Amino acid sequence: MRKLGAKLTHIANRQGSSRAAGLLRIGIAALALVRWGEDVALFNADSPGLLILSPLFFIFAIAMLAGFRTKTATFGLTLVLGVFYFLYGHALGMAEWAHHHTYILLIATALLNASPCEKSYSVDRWLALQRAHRRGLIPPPERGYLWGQDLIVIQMAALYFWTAIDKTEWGFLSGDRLERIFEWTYAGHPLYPLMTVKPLLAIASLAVVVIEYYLAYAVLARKWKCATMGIAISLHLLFFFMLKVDTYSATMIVLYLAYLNPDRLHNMLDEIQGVKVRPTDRAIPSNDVAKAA
Amino acid sequence: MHSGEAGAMNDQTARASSIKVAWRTAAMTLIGSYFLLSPVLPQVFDTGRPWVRQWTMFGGVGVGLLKGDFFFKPTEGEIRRLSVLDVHGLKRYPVTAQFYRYDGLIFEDADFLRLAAKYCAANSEAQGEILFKGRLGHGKAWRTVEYRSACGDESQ
Repeated sequence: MRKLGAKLTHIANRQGSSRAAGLLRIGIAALALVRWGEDVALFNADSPGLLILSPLFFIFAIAMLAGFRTKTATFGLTLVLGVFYFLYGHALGMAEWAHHHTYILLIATALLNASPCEKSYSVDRWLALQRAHRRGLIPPPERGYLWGQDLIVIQMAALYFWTAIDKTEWGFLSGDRLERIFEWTYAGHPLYPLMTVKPLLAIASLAVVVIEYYLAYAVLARKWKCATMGIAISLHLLFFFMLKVDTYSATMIVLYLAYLNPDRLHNMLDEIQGVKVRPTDRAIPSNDVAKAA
Repeated sequence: MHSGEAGAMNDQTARASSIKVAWRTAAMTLIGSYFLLSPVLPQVFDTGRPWVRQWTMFGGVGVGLLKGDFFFKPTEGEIRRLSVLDVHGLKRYPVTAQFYRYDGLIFEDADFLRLAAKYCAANSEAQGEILFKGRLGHGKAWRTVEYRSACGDESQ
């Protein structure tokens, strides 16, 4: 028990590069704008509630995208998306706002509050550099706590596991459910005869379930990272290519930034940008942990 | 600064740090456990919605959808075979809209009668009987169904 406690303390308090979080912030804010932008633009905001929420959504989402007053913007956007999902989506019956793809955007935004997403690729970072330069100080480090990103990874693993559980039944494994989905999506399409070949549907269904169980484990255990990323991204691109998934596939692909080793990503970005300085290759425990110990 | 004051400040800093460490650990453990375990409520015990998210993507797509053949048996003349899309008056389903927004889904017999009546109205020369033999998306699979309706049934 003590070992588990120590392990949890280490995971929850480790620090690393903030660049992955910065890129995540940009991706998630852009996807939120794509998902809700048209729905809540002024011409569609015709109720008193949406008239208030519409400008708030745009202000917070754009500020989060740019990384200006990032903490406030991310917190504000979390509240607004929460109202969209729970109040409008569920309580007021706007079903399109209560989907799994909107929920995952809400959760990702919420978890970015616990990440150092303001410290990289942001106006805040640029302002901090200017301040340091004026005062003759060294540039602030692009580092922070990683527990927000770790929670995103846990959420991804839970999603894969529970969607695989839902599909572990004869209706799905026999290809029936996929056949229904393709019936809706491809009836009248030139490829319809191919898309509804029963043995292929059954094989595809089984493959999806096996892959989802694999991803649930491999994402959570951070095993076989290259293979896992390749399989996961291919799966989500295939969903994107074949079905109406709204922002779901794109969001899941962006979330894999949380799965990467943040310091390795930092080094890779340095190399891409021709920067020679390499920070440490692995995450180090925070000062707080050291002090508390 | 006296050494006593510095020591007290260090103690305070260490205490604050230790509280932060404990807080982060507790928050991560609780939220992580919630993500991993909470779907058991809607997905196993069928409760907790909408506050707890279930991960049942595309589960409802296809419920109420017909797959099979329609046959139009005119009062006089030969039986004509029609596709489901022909009867709906569509070339494709409106796939860019949400599935559940489509009003041609069959959840009860009255929905079939309505669909048949719509076909009859759109083809005013149609006088006769409409039959459907095939499957209907129901629950998590298909159900074999057979429907029959005469043009004008719904108004009766």
